[in-house]
Amino acid sequence: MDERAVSPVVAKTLAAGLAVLYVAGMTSMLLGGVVPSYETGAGGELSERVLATAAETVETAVPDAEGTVRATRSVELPPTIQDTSYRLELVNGSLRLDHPDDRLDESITLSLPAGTTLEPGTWTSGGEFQIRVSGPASNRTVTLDQ
Amino acid sequence: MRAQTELPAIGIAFLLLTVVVVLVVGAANTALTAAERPAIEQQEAAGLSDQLVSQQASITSRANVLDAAELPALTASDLRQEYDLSPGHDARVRLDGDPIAVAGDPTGGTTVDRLVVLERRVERTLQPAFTNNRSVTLPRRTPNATLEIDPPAGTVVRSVRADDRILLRNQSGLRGEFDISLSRYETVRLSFETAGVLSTGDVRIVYYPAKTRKATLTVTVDA
Repeated sequence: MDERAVSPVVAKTLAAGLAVLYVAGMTSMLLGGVVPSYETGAGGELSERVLATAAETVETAVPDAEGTVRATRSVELPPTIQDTSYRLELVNGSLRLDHPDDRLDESITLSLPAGTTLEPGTWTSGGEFQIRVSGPASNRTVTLDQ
Repeated sequence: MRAQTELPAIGIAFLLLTVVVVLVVGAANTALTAAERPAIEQQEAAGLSDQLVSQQASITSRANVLDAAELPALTASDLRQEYDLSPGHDARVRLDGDPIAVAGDPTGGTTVDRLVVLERRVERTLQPAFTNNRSVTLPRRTPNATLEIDPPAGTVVRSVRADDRILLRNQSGLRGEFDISLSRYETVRLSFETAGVLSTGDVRIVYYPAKTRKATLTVTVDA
């Protein structure tokens, strides 16, 4: 009966091993499957809203009126999406959000009065999103401040 | 075997822990779903409806006033090209519930309602009697009018004035049909300078006053 004292040691080791396995399993399941999909979901939602806010800023900056305008409009946008900086590109009549994670890329066609020219440009997140509108009603130019 | 009683206890603890984790993940899921809203779709619908009622749009006669005569000409490709609907997005435009233009096949989507004025030009004809004077006031404002001058023999209509502005003038006499443009911002009094007598039927004025009513423009965009 010299080995009687071994029994609690075995039991405790077994229990500790089970606990470690459980915690490891749970952690890998959460971090490997659940959390990244939530991050992508939240990031996608955020990028959609960022793009919608930026597009709204551009669209409201261009007035539907006669005469020459010279206006600047700016809006505060989040510096990062999913801890990574992103870019907003003004190309070909649309505003595009470019994120290193391609699943978060979004694009929207800007609704602007006829005769509005969009100067191609890129804004990198970090500062204020600022645009300038100038020119007469027949030829308004929208420029993205870098 | 006495020490093995710990195992069921650990099992129950893990079970409880698992239940808690599942509940928390479920709560996080609900929170994320509740925060979701179609931001781009909303922006697109608002932008499209803005462009449709802007004063530059081809279906409006001025800001927020839709021209009933131009509405049937609105097509799906107009929505994409003239009014900047994103390619790949579907849209439907309705006026008081009646579809005007559909691009693609929108199911669900975001809807923006706008209160607009629907303007219709109606044709009215006026035959002034010229009892005491040689002028007539158009009862309604109109951007243009057509004059048919057919004076009797012996009468010469030398000029026609709108308020103080000379519209038509011919010393040897005006006769026939004339299209004139007028200001739609003021009531117009047409005066005829004649040598001789004018009576009912000698001058016929066709003018186009606006008839307006309120309507709801509904724009649905399905991203």
